Amino acid sequence: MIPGLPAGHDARAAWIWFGFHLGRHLRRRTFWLWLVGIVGFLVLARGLAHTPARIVAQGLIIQLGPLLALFFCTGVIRQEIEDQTLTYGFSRPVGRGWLYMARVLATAAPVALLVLPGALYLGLEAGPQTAMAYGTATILAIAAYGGFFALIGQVFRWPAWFGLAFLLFWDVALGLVPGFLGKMTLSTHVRTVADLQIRLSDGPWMRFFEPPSRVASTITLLVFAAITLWLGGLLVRRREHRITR
Amino acid sequence: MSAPMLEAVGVSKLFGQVRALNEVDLTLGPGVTGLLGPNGSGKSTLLKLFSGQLLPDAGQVRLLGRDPFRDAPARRAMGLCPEQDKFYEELDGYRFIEVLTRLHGFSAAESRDRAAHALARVGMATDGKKRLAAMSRGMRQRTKIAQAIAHDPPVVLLDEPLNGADPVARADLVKLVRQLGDEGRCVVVSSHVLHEVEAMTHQVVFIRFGRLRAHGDVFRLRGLLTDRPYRIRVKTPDARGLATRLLALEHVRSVTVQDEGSLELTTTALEPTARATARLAEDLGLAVSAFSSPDADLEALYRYLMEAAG
Repeated sequence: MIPGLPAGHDARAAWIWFGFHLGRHLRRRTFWLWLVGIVGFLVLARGLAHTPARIVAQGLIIQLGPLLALFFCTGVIRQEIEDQTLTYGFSRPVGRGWLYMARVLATAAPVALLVLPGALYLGLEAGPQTAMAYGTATILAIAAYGGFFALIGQVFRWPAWFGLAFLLFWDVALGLVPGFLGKMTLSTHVRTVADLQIRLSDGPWMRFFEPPSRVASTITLLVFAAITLWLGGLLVRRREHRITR
Repeated sequence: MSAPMLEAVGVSKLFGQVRALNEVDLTLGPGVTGLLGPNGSGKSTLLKLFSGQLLPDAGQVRLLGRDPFRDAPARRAMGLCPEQDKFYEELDGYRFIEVLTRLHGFSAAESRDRAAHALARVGMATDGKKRLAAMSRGMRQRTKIAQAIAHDPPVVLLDEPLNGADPVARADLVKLVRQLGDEGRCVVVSSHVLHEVEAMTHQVVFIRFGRLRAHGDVFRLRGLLTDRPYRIRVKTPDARGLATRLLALEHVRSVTVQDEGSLELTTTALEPTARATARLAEDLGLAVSAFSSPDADLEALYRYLMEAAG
């Protein structure tokens, strides 16, 4: 007979796995190098070049955050297959979808830790309300992009290239288009939550541009993050992961 | 009636065009079973199916009656020592096992106790404090076995567990595997080192080209190979005299006197011939200084089965 497991075991095990992998990420040199780089960027942009906080915040929250999520999250499962360590987690009595979610969040959390302090600092220059908006937007952006990039990391052979193309040609470029197409991008919703919308001009065509409400964008990003995480978990649960020598 | 501890029913597994396993039927219960076969025969694939890492393309795999791939809680009953020498290198042995044991639902304190107990069992109580990256191959191997048994599973799957272990460690691990089997666990050991498997168990499974060639007790399987008579070598002062009497025995096919002090006979029945030889020597008042059968062991059985399989 198979010994029983305590109630809520999957969630508890996922929490343990999250903590374990978060610790591993935070001990890596890459994390600290990125931290130094971001602090350097802020000192350079604000302290030396006196670039407006709003512009620096855009660079940090809209550009750098998603880019870091791309580099960190696309390899969530792939890295463990390459390292041949996937077996240790996946041979345990825990739903593999739960382990996947824990792993994605443990990978996205360091990205948030890299971006969030800078975003809050820049927001506080304008006031606590802006800091709150920047902070919320950062967390939602990293959850949404992280979930999406982790998902494509499982689907595509070259996920980093696909992710880069998505960021540059879909998300950034299309995000500049007013109207319905713009709302199809994550960047539009992140901008709305952070109150960092772009107004390209005040020309007559801008009347077609109706920005989504902050509540709608918050819900959109949350739902998008949840769906991509769930889909990724579903794929992991159903798929074989072959570790070859 | 309780379900078998491990069961494969008509299991086939394809990797592209390659059929790694072909309609394998196998039932395993308590005790140690050696999983034998040449490289690429399908041993590791079978272990991966039993541990729920792979899904069969046809047939069913059962771990205590449950599907180890889809039914996550079923994996509570299984401990796996994977073949690859890979770890979360920055951890020490204790922390590595503690984290993995917690995934079985144990508290942090209990997981620590279990990690310590498992490491002590594999002789790593002291060396387990080292970082995995700093451990020797043999220590890493033992740590890998410890993580497979820390949660006290009824089924233990060991893929090449003796790789890289030094002779002393090998002897200790052989003893440990035997103990695990004696405790009533179903232990499956895949290995290339036949004499070590033989030291662990007489229950073996032979796989070649993805097909199950034989399963059972080594001596019983050897006895079934009637086209391969046993050779017996006897050292005795009057080999010629003994040879004349041996030729009259029922199962003896031939006797060759190699020199005055030794003879070799072939027989279809090892045990009756051995008993009769001893009786004859006693009747003749001959001392037997050596008696051996070079092809009654696992190595000979393996060789014959592999030859028969082409």
